[in-house]
Amino acid sequence: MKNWFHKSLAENSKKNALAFLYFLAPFFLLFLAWEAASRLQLINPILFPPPTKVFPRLGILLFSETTAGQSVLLTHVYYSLYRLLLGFVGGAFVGVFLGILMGMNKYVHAYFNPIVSLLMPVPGITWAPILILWLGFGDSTIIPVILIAAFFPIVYNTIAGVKSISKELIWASQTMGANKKTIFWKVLLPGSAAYIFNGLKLGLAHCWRTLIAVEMLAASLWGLGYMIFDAREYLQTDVIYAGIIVLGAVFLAIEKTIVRFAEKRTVEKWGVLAEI
Amino acid sequence: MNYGEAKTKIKTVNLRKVFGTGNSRVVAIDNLNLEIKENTFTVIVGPSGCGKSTFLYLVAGFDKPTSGRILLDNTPISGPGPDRGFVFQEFALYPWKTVLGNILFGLEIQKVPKEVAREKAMSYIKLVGLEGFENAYPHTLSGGMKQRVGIARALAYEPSVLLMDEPFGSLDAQTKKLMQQELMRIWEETRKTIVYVTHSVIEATYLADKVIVFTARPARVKGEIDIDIPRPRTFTDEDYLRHREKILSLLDEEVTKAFKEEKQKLPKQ
Amino acid sequence: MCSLKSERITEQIKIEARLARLQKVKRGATRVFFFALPFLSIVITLELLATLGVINPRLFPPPSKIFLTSLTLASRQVGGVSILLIHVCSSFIRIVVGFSLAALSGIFIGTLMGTNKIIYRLLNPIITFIMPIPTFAWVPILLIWTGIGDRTIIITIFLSALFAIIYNTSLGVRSINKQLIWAAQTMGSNRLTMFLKVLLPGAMVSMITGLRLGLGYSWRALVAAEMLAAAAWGLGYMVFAARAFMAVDVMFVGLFLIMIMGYIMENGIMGSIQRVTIERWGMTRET
Repeated sequence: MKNWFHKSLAENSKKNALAFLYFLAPFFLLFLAWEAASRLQLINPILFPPPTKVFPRLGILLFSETTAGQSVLLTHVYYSLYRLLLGFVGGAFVGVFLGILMGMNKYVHAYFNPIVSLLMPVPGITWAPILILWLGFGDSTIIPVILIAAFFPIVYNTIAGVKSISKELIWASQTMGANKKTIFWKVLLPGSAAYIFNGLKLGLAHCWRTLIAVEMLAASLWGLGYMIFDAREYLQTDVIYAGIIVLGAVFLAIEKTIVRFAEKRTVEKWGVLAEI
Repeated sequence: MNYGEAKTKIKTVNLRKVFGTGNSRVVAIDNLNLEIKENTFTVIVGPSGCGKSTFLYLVAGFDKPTSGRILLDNTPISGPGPDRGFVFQEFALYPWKTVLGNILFGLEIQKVPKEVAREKAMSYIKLVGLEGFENAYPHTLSGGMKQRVGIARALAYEPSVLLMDEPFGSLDAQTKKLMQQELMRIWEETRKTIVYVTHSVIEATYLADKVIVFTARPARVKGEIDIDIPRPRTFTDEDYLRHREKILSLLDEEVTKAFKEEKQKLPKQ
Repeated sequence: MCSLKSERITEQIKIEARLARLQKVKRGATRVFFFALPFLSIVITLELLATLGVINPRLFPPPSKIFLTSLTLASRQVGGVSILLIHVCSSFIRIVVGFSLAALSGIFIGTLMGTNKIIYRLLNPIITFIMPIPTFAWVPILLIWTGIGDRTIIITIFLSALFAIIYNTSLGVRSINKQLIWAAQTMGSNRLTMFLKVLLPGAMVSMITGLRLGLGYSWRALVAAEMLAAAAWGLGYMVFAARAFMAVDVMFVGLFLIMIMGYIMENGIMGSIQRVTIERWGMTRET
């Protein structure tokens, strides 16, 4: 694993450096134009605070401390991230489990499929008011809502994955004397892995988008969504923009590290990256 | 080859297979009676859609007959199992396993100890001529190579019977010829009981000890022709051509019959 | 003799046709039955549980009550129009306006990016960065700017769909086989013709993917925005506001309407557009 990291770093560093600069250039231009327009009051400086105000605010948020002595910004990020983790993992477990059951057994599929396909287009946040009524504000609503949001893309893709395994593949294992358990673990799971992985990716993105929205509705103190929403009370638009930048950065980080890593090690190797 | 003394490996008794009900009912196989002897290479030919693959699936146990029995070593079969290996036309390799992994799979299931299994798998890889490709993934292999893996995989755990469903049907002409020769070489070394299905008479005459010709749907045995030309055979040999003509004429009758039936099914203009 | 036989044959054909029709009806009915079965079983179980008092009817009303409430809402009128209808139409209009604006601008900008390298270099990094940012992050600023009301909601919907459409359109345009464009140029096509008759159809597959994604995002943005920023009408608003009155039955009526509307939109509308264009041209690579 270490070798992979060092080798790709060395090989690609020169290419990456140039591409990176090209990538950043438009942002520089944007910030320049923004700064000028905001200072010159060409655009409302409250609605569009200049970057020179936003970035310092980012620093303030990062370094100012809560009563517990932690960074304010990092506490917000921490709350959002752990909610994301819990909701996503929960949704993934239920989604993969049900998806495999539905893919394998046509009766289970016939029973649950109408429910799943009817509930899937319902935006996750629709459940929020109902859950708030039942379970109150805060994590007890937020996590179930994003669990639901993660669940649907995952179960949908898992079903597709299991169904994609040709019956010949199952027959082949039967001629080798495999029993149901072996077929499940050694044929069904690896065979649908690419689809399941794709579903997990989609589920994660879905989960993240819903998380921020739910936090605006139902969080009581912490969380990136809450931070951004709350700032509007005092017209602290610099906090809002700082929050937006953090949002973008956090998700980019998650995508580029964890997801890419998992992808390289599993699906690309098997050459069965499925496109849904 | 004297078949009188060889043991009967597979026997079907009044085999019948019907698909569907009512208007869409199809009788694929009816009143099929045949015997396949141990350690022989039997090829089944017949017009397209006559039910030869269906028959092979029944012997493999992927499907159940509507009536009649199939006996393996005098016991009726009940589902797929490691006593009958199967080679699919579309290879059916596990894309997430390497060549070695695919071949080891059957041995793993049979709980063969790791060292022994690995040695066995490697010997079969050598046998099919894929040395050096053990760690390749199926999607990087050509069609011919994939089928070699399929054959090695089906042989590795040493089933007593090998069933092959038009295994070279997806390959181009040159690779096909090569693979047929390879298959002969492999068979000479292992001498399994092979039941091979194809629609190519050329292939059948080249490979088989005995050719069984199926009728058009519903399938029955139209005729059986023994081919006692010594191997390796050539596609231009006189004996070979003679046998081929015999089989071809039997087949032609059935093909014409099947064609006529299709025409009758077309909606009236 | 001959006429009798032909009569008998026509009789037979008629009977067979009737049998075939009956079979088709039977098959259709069976399909509908099996589709509805899980819902029926759930509704019946819920009804039973509620009547037996296992579930607190204030927290989870029995399906019968939900149904009755929907009828009440449907019949109660404001200004001569059923309340339920106003809610549904408000949501519907908002998403139609927001999405169409996003589609038009998105396709335009996307095509521009796809054909002009400078614009692409300029905009692509920014769009790639902004796209994964949840639409909702922009809502607080919008709330300050345009306050509560239709404008904010429509702008939110617009933003949610815009980036996905731009991205996929530019992708589609950039991946058109260059030879198709060259062929049109050798035939002397002008810019407009090129756009309408080569670029648009050629990029259609990606564009439709973008539109589908955009519609999905729009839909979610609509419901969520209505919860945060609607003044009085809309399905999302209905569900959200009902919470303040603990009117759970109203919330569920809203939920069902959202379910139905969402289903129609995701499967009905987008599906038919897809069928009429790319599937007819054989350009899809999916089933």
